[in-house]
Amino acid sequence: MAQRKVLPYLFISPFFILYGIFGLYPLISGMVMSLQKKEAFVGFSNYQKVLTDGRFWKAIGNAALYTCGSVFIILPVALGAALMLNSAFMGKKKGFMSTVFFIPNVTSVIVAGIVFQYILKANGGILNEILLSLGIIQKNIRFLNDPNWAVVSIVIMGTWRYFGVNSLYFLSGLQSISPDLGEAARIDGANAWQEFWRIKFPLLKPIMIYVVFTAITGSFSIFGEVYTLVGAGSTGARDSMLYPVIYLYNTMFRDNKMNEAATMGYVLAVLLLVITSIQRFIMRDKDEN
Amino acid sequence: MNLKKFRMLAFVLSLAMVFTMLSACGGDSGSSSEASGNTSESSVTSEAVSEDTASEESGEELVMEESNVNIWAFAEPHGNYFEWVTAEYTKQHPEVTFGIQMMDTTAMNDRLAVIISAGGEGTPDLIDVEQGQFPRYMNEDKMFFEPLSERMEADGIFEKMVETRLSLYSYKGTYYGLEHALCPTTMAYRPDLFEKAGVEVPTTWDEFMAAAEQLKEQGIYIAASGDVTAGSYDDVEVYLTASGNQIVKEDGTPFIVENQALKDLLDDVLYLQKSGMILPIEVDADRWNAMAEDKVATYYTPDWAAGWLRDNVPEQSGQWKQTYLPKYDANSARTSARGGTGLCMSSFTKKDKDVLWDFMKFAMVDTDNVVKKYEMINLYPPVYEAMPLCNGPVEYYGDQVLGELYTELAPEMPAQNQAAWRSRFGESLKSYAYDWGEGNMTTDELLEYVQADVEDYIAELG
Repeated sequence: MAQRKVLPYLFISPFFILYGIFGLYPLISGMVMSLQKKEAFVGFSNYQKVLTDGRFWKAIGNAALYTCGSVFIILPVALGAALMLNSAFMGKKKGFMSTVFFIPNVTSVIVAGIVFQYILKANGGILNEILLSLGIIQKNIRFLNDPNWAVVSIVIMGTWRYFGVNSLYFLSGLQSISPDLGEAARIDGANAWQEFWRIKFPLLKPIMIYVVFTAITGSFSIFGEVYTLVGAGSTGARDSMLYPVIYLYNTMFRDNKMNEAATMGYVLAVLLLVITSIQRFIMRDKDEN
Repeated sequence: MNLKKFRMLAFVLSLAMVFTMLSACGGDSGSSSEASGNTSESSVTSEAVSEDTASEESGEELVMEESNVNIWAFAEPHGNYFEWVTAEYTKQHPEVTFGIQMMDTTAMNDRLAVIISAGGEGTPDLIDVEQGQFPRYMNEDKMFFEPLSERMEADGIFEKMVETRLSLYSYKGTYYGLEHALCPTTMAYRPDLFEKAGVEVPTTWDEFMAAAEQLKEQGIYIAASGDVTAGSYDDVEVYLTASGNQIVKEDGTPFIVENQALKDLLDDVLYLQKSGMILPIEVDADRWNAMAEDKVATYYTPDWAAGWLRDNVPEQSGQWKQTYLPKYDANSARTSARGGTGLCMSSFTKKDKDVLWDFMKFAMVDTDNVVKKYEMINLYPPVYEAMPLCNGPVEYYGDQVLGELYTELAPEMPAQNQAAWRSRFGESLKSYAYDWGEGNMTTDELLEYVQADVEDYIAELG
């Protein structure tokens, strides 16, 4: 009888032990650290310091800009790719193309960073060469040094890296929509755009919520792409390549300010919670309407 | 299998899993070598855990206890040397074996930061520390390394090695490491390109500027350097160090706004770059490609980078020579110091520190071994006795004996001052350099902004 009482708990205990050690403990430990300075309790003074730090808000501003790029550029490109994959035109090539689209996502960020340095560099960079030869620009653009182009550079790399995986999410959403709905709409005289905008797009909302949510959280957590493009020890011209996790990393590892870094982590988490709550509320509101 | 037996088996397996996880997560304060992920080929013997003894100070013969020493290094050539020198040491002291773990320098220092926070859990015993990373530890709470001043004094290290190279790994008057290389920075040059332009090889900065104009007429860049308008600062720093105008004063305070040499050099390099006399490089390949096309006449190189030309433009073997660095002003040295790596001992190690120190001397000070290091990986030793022995001709530089040049320059080697805020200086310069390069701010304004950032940083460090 005793065994019967203990056994179920024992079976589920591995998850709780792992979660306790690798999830809960760091969470609580991080919270405690954010309230300390050199192991002495200092209340919320670290939070006050972080919230009044101009560079922290600069990093948040850069991340917000990149988030706009993610949501309004990367995701539409991914949706376009998904629509293409879902079209009858693709036929048997759908599987192959999906794999091709997914490759950037599994490519090492270090390799991608090096390749994009060559693509984006001002003198002899592939992108500059193309734009010059097409007559779109008259003078080389310093993508990685000009603060006005910094976020564009990151969005270009992000588009290449993440449109594939997002297009697969959209594709799974599109495939779950019954073809009968489209057929009925076409019988009623709807054109391709109306079919997409009135039928498919609204039905993609559940997937859309998830994809937008991950795009926002991913954008605020961006690290590898920026770090490899600008290199260690740089945050770009006018701090244009200073992103929250880069700043947190430098604070923790370069400046050895562990308590401040933990505080930044918590502020960032709360900020993301607020943003995603707003996003979910807006989407839910539209749904209800 | 009936249900009862199945439940019993599941019960036992779950129990085993829980205990395995709990034991895996438990601390192990005594044995750090295996926990640190030793990837060495060296065999592992039982560990010595005896604390530091005073055998050397008391003049008694050092008695080695069985020990497995873990070394962390970041540069492949250093790793190769350690493989060789540890094997030699083990031949003489079979009770001491070694494990060498290679990793990226940033990753290594990040791991050390975590180890400090964890109270030393998982520490290596000896660490190769790149000089640019040392300032991360220049803080009483974060100093990872064992003070070595007393041992160095007792063993006459300051008489045997170039002291300016040791001060790179010092903090508040205490020394923490032994330097691998002298790192004399000289100027490699192409005699044929200077001849083509009808200009003498420059011996001063003014001659360098004048030569740049003449070389440009032949379509030749005098140098290919990091883009100064992106905040690349290495070449400017070479001349500042040689002229005794470093941004870090001896006492560790900043020398930025009032630093006239810094201001003039930034202006000169910006002029050379904007006038097409210096090729600004964005990726290393830009430099090597331009060199391969015979478009670059000079290259500042410390000893550890002398082989990079050979590796990247091998077809130009015999076409390059090395000479003194052009003097920035009358008081400048004819050489500068760039880079450096020191072997340091972890203060958290549980191994016998006498054994570790004995090995450090064997690897970094012993004449035969450091000469062998020069032959293996081109690191010119900062050990006086070994210098004249590093006199082999170097084929790539037309059989020039680089060792003779380095030996001649050794007494002029300037010190490299260290400060915890050095990385903030670089970051800040990169942040403002674009606007400076675009003409949106003057050099004075640039340096004022940078100084302000550095002072804020220092204030935060307390």
